[in-house]
Amino acid sequence: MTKIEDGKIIDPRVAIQIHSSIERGNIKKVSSIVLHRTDSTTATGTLNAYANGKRSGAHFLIDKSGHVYQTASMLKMCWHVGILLPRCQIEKNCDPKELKTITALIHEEGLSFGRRARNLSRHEVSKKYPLRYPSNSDSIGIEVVGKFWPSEKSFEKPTQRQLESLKWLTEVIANEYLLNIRTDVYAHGAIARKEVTEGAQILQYLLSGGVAQ
Amino acid sequence: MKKNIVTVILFMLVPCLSACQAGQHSKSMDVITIASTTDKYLPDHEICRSFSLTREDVAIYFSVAEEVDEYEFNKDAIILPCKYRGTIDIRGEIFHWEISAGGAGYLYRGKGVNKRYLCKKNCCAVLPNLC
Repeated sequence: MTKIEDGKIIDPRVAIQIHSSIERGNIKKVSSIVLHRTDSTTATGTLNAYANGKRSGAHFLIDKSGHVYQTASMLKMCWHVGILLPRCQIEKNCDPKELKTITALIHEEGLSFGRRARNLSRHEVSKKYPLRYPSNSDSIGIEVVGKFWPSEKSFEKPTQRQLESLKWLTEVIANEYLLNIRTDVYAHGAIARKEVTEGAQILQYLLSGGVAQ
Repeated sequence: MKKNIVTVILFMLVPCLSACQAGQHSKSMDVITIASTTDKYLPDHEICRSFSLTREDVAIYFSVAEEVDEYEFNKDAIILPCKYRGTIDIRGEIFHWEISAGGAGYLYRGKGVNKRYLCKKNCCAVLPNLC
């Protein structure tokens, strides 16, 4: 029987390896789940980075054998989202004033491209979910081990065990926070300034049960 | 007063030194091909019209950008829709390369070589647009 106690999932399938260095204050409300890929071939690099005091990370990590590590309490924020994309502009439903603000921020002269993207992200974070995409303050992050191949612009195909563990874990979290898997789970590459394919395969599996080759 | 002058001189020298260092290293590189690409799925891809990199910029980038591990790249890379891609000869070895306007870069050869770079301090001093 799976239980959640003090923000931790108590189940034989989950190894609790909390790294306080990646816990960044309390989450007030969990509104969504963000799916990440590690861009690595094993879980070791990520776990070592956390153990060495790195400050960014996600709440969960799923290795290739499907083993689930809980690396931060779900009561705590983790820095896992990064630079947000402007949701209303992507989904083409901004009001004219907001669209003008977004356009001004991303076209601001005299600033580097990265600085403009950071400024726009800061503007996005000031909005309330779901007017914006999930941020660190209201989402749970799940990392799934898998390498990115720039030559193919795609991530390594997840193993069947990873997919099964991800489905189980997502359902546990969604049940706990009353989330809708169809609308409250996001691929990282679709919401932040990352490789667009990050998290897409695994979200597709959650939604349709299959993964493209 | 004297201390302030020394500080100012040092502050001015850092970009110069970075540029000189970049110039020396980039001589061992030959950017064979270069082409701009834009991921048009993003609505703000229009900013890409003002993003330009020369062959010299690319050689400088791979001299001064910092090679980072997967964790750091995953955490800090800003991938924008504006990119340049191509091939580069580094000391007789040919690689594919890619640089995003956010300052993140790849150097790769199939799945054999797969390196990640970020434009940090030294890189920012000579290629400020990539910071």
